[in-house]
Amino acid sequence: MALSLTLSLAGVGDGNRLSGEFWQLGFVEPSFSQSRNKLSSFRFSNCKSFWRTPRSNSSILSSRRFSYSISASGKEAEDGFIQNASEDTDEMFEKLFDRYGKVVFRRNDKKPPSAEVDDDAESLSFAVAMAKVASEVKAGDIKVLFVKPLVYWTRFFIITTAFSRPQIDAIASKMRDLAEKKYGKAPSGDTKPNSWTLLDYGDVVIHIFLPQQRAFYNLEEFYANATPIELPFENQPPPFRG
Amino acid sequence: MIQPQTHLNVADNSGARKLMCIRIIGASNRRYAHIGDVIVAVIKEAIPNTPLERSEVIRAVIVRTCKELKRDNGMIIRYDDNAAVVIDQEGNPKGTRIFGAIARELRQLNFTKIVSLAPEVL
Repeated sequence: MALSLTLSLAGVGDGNRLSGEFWQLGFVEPSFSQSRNKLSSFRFSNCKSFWRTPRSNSSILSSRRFSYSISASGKEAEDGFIQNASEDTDEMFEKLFDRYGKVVFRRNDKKPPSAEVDDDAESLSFAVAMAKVASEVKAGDIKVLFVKPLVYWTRFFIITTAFSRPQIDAIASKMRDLAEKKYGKAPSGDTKPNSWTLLDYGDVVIHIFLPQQRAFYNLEEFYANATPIELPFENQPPPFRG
Repeated sequence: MIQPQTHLNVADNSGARKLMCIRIIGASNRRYAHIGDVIVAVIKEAIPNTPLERSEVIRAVIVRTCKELKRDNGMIIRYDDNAAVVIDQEGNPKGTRIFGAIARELRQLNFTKIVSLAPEVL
């Protein structure tokens, strides 16, 4: 391994040619076993990318060349590199994993995708039911956001505006009642009406704001990349208040 | 391990920059505060022209500590700095955005508002 390190040190300027040379070196040596060869070329590619940080994709090149052909000329390899750079790196890693990787440790608590979809649907129905309760109590500008792709700790956000503290209290207590009666869930979060009242049901987090606080914290903008969910009922726009 | 006289960074955009802990809320004679504890602090340094000023006394939640945080599964989290988020008496953050990574323990301690404003939750 020390050999490859010194080589890469010497060849910082011309990495492509060097990787080929190194390859040949490893190839002609019969004492290297097949697995040893793989390993060394891998490590070597890592070293190279370390020394040539601006071209982070150079490791792609060397591993590609390793897997397909050693005799590719510099020009061809360069073309391949340009093509590879545009490809999805995930795919590349998957390929490499299929070829050389093995699973050493797998978490047991991971759910299968079908269970995940079921959970999503369940949370969605709960979120929509909660949003409906909010609209019944005349909360304004109700938004349901699917935030699961952005944050791991919850699935849905409900953001809504109430126009006074008694209204916040009414919305929160109605939501608590329905969640307890129909779904058997109890929220954590605020118990008293607050200018930003938060009800945390685990997979669904409900934010009830006063109009001023809603504009101040601007949560929708922070979670602008989340997918908004279409609501099945008429969503009242916030009434004009002069 | 935050105790009175500890200086902390501020991890939000409330306008304060440096805090000094003067009291830990929770028990009468508590020695140290950890992640998720509320402290009373005084602002030692503030950004000019913001609502918060120097030498103002505020409440803050500790979000990062140099002292490691242990989880039941054996994971240990240790940050490079001691940092806190300024809150008001109701528990709402004074700033609108949180900076840096925070621990998920804050959610269990009923600081979900801070968690929902944070860019990264460990």
